[in-house]
Amino acid sequence: VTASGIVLGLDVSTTATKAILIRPDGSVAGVASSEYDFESPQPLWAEQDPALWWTAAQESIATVLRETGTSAADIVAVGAAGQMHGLVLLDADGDVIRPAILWNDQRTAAECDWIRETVGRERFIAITGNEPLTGFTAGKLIWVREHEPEHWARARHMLLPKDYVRFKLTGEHALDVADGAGTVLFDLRTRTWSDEVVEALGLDPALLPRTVEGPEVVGSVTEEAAAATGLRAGTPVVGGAGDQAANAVGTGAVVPGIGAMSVGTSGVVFVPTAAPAIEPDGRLHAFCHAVPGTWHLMGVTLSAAGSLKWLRDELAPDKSWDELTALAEPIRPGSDGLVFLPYLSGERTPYPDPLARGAFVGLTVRHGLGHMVRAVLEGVAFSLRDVFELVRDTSPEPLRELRASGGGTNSVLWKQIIADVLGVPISLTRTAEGVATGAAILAAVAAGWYPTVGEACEAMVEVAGTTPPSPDAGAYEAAYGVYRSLYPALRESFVALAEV
Amino acid sequence: VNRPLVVAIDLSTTACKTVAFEPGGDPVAIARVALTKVSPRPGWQEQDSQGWWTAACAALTELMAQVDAADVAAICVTHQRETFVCLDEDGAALRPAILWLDTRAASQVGRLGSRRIHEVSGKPPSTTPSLYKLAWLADHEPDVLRRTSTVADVHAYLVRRLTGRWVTSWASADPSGLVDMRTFEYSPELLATVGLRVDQLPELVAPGVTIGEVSEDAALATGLQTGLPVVAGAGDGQCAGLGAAICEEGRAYLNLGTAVTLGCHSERYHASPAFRTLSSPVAGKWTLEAVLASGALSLAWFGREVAGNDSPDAYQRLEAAAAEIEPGSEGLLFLPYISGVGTPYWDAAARGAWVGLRERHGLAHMYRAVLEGIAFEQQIALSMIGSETGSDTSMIRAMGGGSRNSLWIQVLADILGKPVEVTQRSETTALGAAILAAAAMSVDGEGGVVATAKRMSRGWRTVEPELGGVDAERYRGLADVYARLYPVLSPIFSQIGDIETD
Repeated sequence: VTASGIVLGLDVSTTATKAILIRPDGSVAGVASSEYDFESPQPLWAEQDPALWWTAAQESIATVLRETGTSAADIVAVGAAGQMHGLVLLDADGDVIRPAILWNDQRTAAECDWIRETVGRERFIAITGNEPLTGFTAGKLIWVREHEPEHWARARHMLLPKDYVRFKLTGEHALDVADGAGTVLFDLRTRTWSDEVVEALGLDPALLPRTVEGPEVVGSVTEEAAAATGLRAGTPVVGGAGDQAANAVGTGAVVPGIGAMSVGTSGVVFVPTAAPAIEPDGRLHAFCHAVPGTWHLMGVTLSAAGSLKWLRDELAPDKSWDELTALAEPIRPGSDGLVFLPYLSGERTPYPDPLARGAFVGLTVRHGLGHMVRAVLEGVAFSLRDVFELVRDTSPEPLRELRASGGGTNSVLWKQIIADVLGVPISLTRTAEGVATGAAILAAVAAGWYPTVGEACEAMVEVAGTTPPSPDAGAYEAAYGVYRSLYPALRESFVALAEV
Repeated sequence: VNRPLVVAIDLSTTACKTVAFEPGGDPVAIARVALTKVSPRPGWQEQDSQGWWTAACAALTELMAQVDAADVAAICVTHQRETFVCLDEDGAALRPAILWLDTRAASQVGRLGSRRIHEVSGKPPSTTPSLYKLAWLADHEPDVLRRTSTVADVHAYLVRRLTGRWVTSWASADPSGLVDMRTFEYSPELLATVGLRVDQLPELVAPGVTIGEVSEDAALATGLQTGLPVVAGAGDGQCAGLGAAICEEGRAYLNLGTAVTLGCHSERYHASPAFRTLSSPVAGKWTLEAVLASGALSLAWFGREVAGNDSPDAYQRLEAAAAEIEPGSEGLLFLPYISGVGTPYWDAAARGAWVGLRERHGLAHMYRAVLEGIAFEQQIALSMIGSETGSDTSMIRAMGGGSRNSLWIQVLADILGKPVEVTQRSETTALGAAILAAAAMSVDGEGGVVATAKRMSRGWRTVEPELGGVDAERYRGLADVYARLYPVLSPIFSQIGDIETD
């Protein structure tokens, strides 16, 4: 088979929509991005007008076609990925009823409690694989039903953010299973809506769109969308994936044994599993993978590169990232007994504790800013190790490599510390746009370039470099032991600080 | 004859200061000569005792050039405590003096330190009291100890050079850990611990007693008049308290120096890990002293190492920004044990910590948390002293460099929930010695150390607690959280200590 043409991948993120053009060998023909912001009309709320995504998608698609001189006729398929969990409600005419309630919106604590009570926490985790957390879509649906009955009465279709963009491209209401599992209305095993959960929560099944696999064609670009974007009418559009699963595809984490790790504002460890695996306490997210017939486990530490950004912004705003991490270079592993707990925004994995807080413990007169920088690099690595070990121990298959992405991996020192602390090789892939690339790879499968997602990744994802654990990786063991003692020792203080 | 002036010698670790005071307590002349110390090995801190006398002579000569020697009624010494020198029968040093901050005797503390020694000497076991360093000499330099004719504290050494007599104040000797604090006499039991004979130590007299007169030789060397009365003084911490007129129960002084010292006057003897018990400069009374080694040291460390700028301008900006932060630093706490902790935990392995960090916290929060952490520490000390003595402290006088930091004083007043008095005057420590000299001479005809202290310690201004309602409530809540930090972190500090010593 000789693949020809170009695939288009979209990443509908919280801050921008990106369009990427990729050739059959995985090389990038071009990228364009159109940015926007989200609104927080009340404390804990985070909303975005879906029109922003569609406008930005039109702009970025048109821009990337124009700037690369690509003919729309060469685009053989389109894939969309993006921010997960956000709730979009459409009326019977396909119009947006209210702003989308985003993944980072925290208003639904009471609704989540109600879901736990109504379904039963253990039963809920057994079916969906997850705790009903405020970030997930189910609570957002219940919230609108409880608080905005007039909106609820008009709602005919719910979608997730990138599905709305796909709906605008194709006119089809659909939702892929990787993102769909993140609604926590899915039966994780059957990879579609759980009748039991949907019924228990009193939701109308007609509200829920049909579900598709990531590389499955949902529909094709309409005449109207073609006019708006410059794409050719009739171009097939696939299911795509939520951003975490798409990033895993884009970095080649599509088979058990190869995980993905993102060191962005938050830190994520993601592993594919051949069968649905559930952490019985709900401390990990268990969703469908974008690869048909596979699943994934995922854990999140809330403040990863966010911790280093905080340190720089507050203590050394005049220093570049390189200057900042250079201060940590001469300090020995273990930071001379200084340990940082990175819970600046509370924590999710392994301690689901919104009241958790950060700490520097072990300060002496001999410590300075360089020690604090190194302690932050190490503390975040320790937190990633907590997540990594829980994911690894819950996963039925052994894990031998992590494909890394995110701003934190730009630092050679940090990458090495993470490899040493986790005791696993950290690889970087050629592209910085893992999510959009993943969407494009799913489209490539639909276009018939490759028979499976796995084979597509083998051909299209190139590892640019691997950082193995160094021989002196053991130097961190003792400090990690101290780190492990910190949260249990300080937990009650965190609760007390919240009450003061 | 009208002799209105008294002279104080304040020989600290870093300098010998001489100050002449008029009867109202105002310094009229000051001279200062720097001292050096050496650290020949890690943990060792030594000084040449001959340098004490050389510096004292130079500082007195410079002082006497500013005043008429005939106007001076008496002289009194205050000094760095615990520091001692071993002398032969000619008064020559057998080895360099070992300083109070020398930590070489850690293993002797571990071996000899006991509840019993604490009860008798008033000193919780630590490397500070001279006793353990004398035990170190017995272990490592037995020949020195055997040849020692006199073990002299700084006061004894200077009095000997001034008068020719081997006499010291019990308020100068007691920090050594060799004095029975219930009788103010050397304890045979404590002496036996280190194998010293009582004849190897200077005679003890009460603080405020006239010991002798300046000899002709000393007069020549210093510019003082021959025959000038030399009055028994006290260690610098206690003298600072006397200089602030802390000589009644319910009063405390807060010396905001590199270390922060909280001292309470006590009419009765108490021993507790919450404080060291010292002889008050008011003879027959006691001073209960809590010490945090990293006081202003924490602020200096913060500027230099964390903020990366310790210029006066940078501190001013930091203070201004910290003053804008809500009391309680939005839930951020700092444990100021960056050089270990003495009272009340006596844990050299303890370390500092910021606990409670959130993204909203910045440099100014972290700095304010340092100021507040030191204040929470004083609140714990006061409350422990109160529960030990059954006496509440209602009046606190702050001195030392930190007393000019208005934000810190306000934070202290707010967290302690008590007024804190400050003075524009400096040289409070020397003033304490001057008060002893003035009282001994009854310079203005009115005797008594307490009355003299109240007369000469002046210029105090009161800073009231400003916070009420929710702010005061918040500080009380945070104080409770703070008090639980060391207990939960201490096993972690030992864990870190085990790693770092590997």
